[in-house]
Amino acid sequence: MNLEQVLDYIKASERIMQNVTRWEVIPQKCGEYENFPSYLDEKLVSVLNKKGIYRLYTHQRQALDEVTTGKNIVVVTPTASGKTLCYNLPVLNQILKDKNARAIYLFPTKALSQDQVSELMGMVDAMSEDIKTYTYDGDTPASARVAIRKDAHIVVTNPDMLHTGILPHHTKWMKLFSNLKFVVIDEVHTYRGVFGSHTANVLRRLERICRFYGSNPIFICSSATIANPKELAEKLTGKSMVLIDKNGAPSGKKNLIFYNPPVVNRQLGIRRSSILEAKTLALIFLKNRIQTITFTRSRLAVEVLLTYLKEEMKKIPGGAESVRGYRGGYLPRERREIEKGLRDGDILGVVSTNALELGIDIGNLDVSIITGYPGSISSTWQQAGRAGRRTSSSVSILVASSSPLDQFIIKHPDYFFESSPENGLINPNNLYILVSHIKCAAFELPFEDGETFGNQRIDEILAFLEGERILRHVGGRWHWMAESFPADDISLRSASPENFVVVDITEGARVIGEVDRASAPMMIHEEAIYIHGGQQYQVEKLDYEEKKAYVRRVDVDYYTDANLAVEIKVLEEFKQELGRSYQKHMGEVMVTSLATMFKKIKFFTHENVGSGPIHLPPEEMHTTAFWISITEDTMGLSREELESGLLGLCNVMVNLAPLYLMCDPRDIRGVVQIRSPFTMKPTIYIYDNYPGGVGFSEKLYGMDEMLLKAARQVILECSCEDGCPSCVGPYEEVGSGSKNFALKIINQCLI
Amino acid sequence: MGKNVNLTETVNIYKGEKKSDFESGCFSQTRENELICRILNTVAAKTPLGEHLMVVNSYEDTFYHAGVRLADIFEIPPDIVGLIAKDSDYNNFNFAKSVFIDTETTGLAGGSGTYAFLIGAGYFEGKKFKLIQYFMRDYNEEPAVLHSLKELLKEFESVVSFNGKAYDIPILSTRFLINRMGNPVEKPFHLDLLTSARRLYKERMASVSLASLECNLFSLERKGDIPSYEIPSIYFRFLRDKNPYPLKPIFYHNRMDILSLVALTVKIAGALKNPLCSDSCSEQDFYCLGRIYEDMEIFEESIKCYLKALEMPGVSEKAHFRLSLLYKRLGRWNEAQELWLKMAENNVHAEFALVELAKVYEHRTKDYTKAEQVTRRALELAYKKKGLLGYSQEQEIYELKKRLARILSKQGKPQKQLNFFNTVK
Repeated sequence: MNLEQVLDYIKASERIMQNVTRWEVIPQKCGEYENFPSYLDEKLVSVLNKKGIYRLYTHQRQALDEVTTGKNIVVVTPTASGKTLCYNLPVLNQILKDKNARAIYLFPTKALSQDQVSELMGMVDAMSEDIKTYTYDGDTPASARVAIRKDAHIVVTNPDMLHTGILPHHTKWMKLFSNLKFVVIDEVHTYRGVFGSHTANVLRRLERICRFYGSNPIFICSSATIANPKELAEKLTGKSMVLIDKNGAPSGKKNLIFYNPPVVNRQLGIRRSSILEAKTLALIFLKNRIQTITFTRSRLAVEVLLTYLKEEMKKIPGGAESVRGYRGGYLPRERREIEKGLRDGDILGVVSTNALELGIDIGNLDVSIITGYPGSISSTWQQAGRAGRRTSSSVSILVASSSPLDQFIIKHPDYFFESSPENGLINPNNLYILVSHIKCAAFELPFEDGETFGNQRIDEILAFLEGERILRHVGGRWHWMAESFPADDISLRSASPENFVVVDITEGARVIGEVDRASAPMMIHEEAIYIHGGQQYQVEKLDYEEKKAYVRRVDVDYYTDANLAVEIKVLEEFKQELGRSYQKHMGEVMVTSLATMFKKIKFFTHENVGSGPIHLPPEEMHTTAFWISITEDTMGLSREELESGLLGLCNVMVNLAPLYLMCDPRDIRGVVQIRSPFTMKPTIYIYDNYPGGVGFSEKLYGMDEMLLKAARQVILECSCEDGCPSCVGPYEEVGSGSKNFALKIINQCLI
Repeated sequence: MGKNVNLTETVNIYKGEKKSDFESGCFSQTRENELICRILNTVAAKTPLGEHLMVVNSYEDTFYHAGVRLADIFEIPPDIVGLIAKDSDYNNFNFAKSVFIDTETTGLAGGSGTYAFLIGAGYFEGKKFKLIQYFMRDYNEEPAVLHSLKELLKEFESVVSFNGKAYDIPILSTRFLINRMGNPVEKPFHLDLLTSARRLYKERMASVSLASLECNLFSLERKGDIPSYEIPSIYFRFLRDKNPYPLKPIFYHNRMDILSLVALTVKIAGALKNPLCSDSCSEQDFYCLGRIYEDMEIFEESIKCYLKALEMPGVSEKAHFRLSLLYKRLGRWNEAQELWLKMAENNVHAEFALVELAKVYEHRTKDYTKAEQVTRRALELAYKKKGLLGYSQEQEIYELKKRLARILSKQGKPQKQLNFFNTVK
């Protein structure tokens, strides 16, 4: 069967259709084209011709025209709309005209930069021109670095490397900075919240260095669909941007299907596992040789689903090998091989985490199955966008898990289709972040009296740093006066870059993968079944000090899943205010995550067939928190009602706070304690999800009343019946009546 | 803390200036400058880019540092400099046209925020050695210091340093570039003695730092020196309180480093010129010397050094290995064979030696019986290793089996004797 026939089959299947809560058809769209402009170098035209490209999409032409006339742009178009040409064409065209011209390409992850270099090199090779493109990141061997600094026309890197490896050593990059014509920033939507605010300051430092060497580069940004791409790009780069969002690429008819797994236990309301449902759905396509990508929410789920699919596909010759997994922790070479297999069509199916959500080139697939709501509207559109042919139809299926948020979305498809995607919020002037980068900037070049940083006056900060004996003010300049290398102490991301390696000792010793530090206690504790590419391994020994897990190949009928207990403990209170009806506090807390035990779960049936303890030290994070505690006898609410109200109120506050803090929702976290061991009262904590804190809690402390009022307004104005993700949260999570209970709590607080 | 107390005492002894005076900024600008110049022996230097301080020292041609006469550097034969640098382009290296450089900096991490606040530059004027130290009292004197250094550098065609390739020169380059003064420190020739010393002494000495070399080669004891890691913080304190006393040891340290550069050059040259009777060469160094001579294709000297190294613990095995390969390279088969036999017997790289012997017997002497014997022994060793270490030596074993099969077929023997259990002992 071809795809259309499979769709007809699905439509005719009552078993499937009874679970479909929405079938949205996005009609086919014709391409809009323009000719190559006359100023485009003939060599580029002929390379494009060789690739079968004889004209440009309107958005590509617009990008080229705007950049060529010196405008900064942000391009927002869906995946597979020829986005990379929007920046490669103007950059290559300029370098062909002037061999001294230089460009920096910034990608949020290393994997993306690898991918870009190979594509760019392909174009350059086809022109047989001497244009050098190199990646420069933590993996670049020292021997190659000197040549890259001197000769690279295009340096492909990430913000972290720019921050610690390039800017503090700018004199070694004089050639690059003196001739820098373009800064390309791909996936601008990923630079949100704290990470984005840091990156914005790294770019301010970049601009400062460029000014020193007399260059003034044009910024070319691209973004996935978010609510405010222009605003985000402008705040990130400090430049005014031309927004290019009229997609000229054609697209075939697209089916977007919402699917809720059937209830298997009516009394308990238990639904069939989303993984098993995704398996069934994926197999319908795979068995008809239709290329399918399946997204899951965790790395464990990738491996479990992959195991199932391989098992079924075995029955077809060559079937098991045609399905692959893809996730963080696979080694780079394995990833490259899978990406290529997908492009060439040798690989029929791939099961992936959101690692494939960003712009890694895997070609266009026919079907994407999203196992579990990815948590945001933009991510869902991104993952759905992985399926999409230029002319023929494609299908995306969202399979809901039983989590409250998933159940809400799947039962209220209108909410999804009518809401705009999320905003990308950043605050480059967050004092904590700003001060860190002023230190780095002063290290790079002394500040002059009256100099601004990202148009901010910074005299007070400089004077403060002088008082702390970090800077020295002499002769009208502010010089770095410390032994340390400031960039080393400032991480742009909250996640630690440390990795555990997984060593297979079945025969000899071979590194097969890596696991990030935060996930290690969950994935590679002793006795865990670690699954890689569908092959099971049992962890024999975890060397926590050396960050190595030794595993041996096994063949068992279960996998393991660990429980993580997260606790918050107040270490020190900095401020507190006893209000009329509630108390607010601000201080230092320790958030502890401890993997306590693991369960052995049987494949297919998902029965619990055993368990064991995990003995590993807890992961600790010191950070700052804001918390409010209320009196216990609030409006005569029962304990359950109080808890439901607290949870609801906490959710509204955590949803609202990012708007005031200009951060990403993931940058803060809320925790509710019905009787806090510290305050001895019902308490809501909101903490900076960032080691050491970045000042959010302090701001929240100062806006408690405003936040509570805003929360009340949101709840009152929300048109949902009994809780939704836009207000107190889905009722499945916070319980029925939460809106009402939360309002009562607020009203009591705001007497 | 002991040091601080001492310094305070010194301060009190000198003419009654009190430490507290420095901290409270009690001195007038003039008095402060006068004190700095007096204590550090500096004179003011005026440049178009402003003023800075400098210290000038001059050492007569009879001056000895750590037992080495500085002017002896001119006795070094030209080809020996090529050996020191391990690059024959340095055969014409002219020490009269060289500047010996060492910097004291505000941090050890490098990067564009690290400043060189004291730059020492030594050079010969005839047989006299002149040592100038350029010093910035504060950051705003950096352009002036760099200007003076740039003027001096114009006179020279090469640089001598200790770890200057990785440290001092990149920092100075960065300083010049940031002050938009070009890049005058990049000279066509740069003799970095750290590289040379490491090549020569890495087997004998655990650390090849300048301090360790001084201690091992010269038995030099510095008086009133200061550990390098304390230097940045002392300078930062000076910037705040302008008390020059704690800087004295830094100036001394810098001068000693530069004098030791000259002495070290002479010492290393001595070892390379006449290895067997030099006081700056002993024990494991002979292996290193063997490598240097071999790489520079001075084979007779190389063999002499390797022969000495055969007896030295720590490098004996490596020396056997390299020497046997050198004999082979030179076609001195008898000596090579003799050495391999000894190695096989004494279990020094035995597997390698056995394979080399097998090659000789099979291809040169056509003695297939012996060839079979040694190959079987090598195979036996490989299996033993596999058994003991638990990981496979598949490639090695595969190659040995292939070799054995070929030797057996040359003898007209059936292949089934390949079985490991048929080992001829």
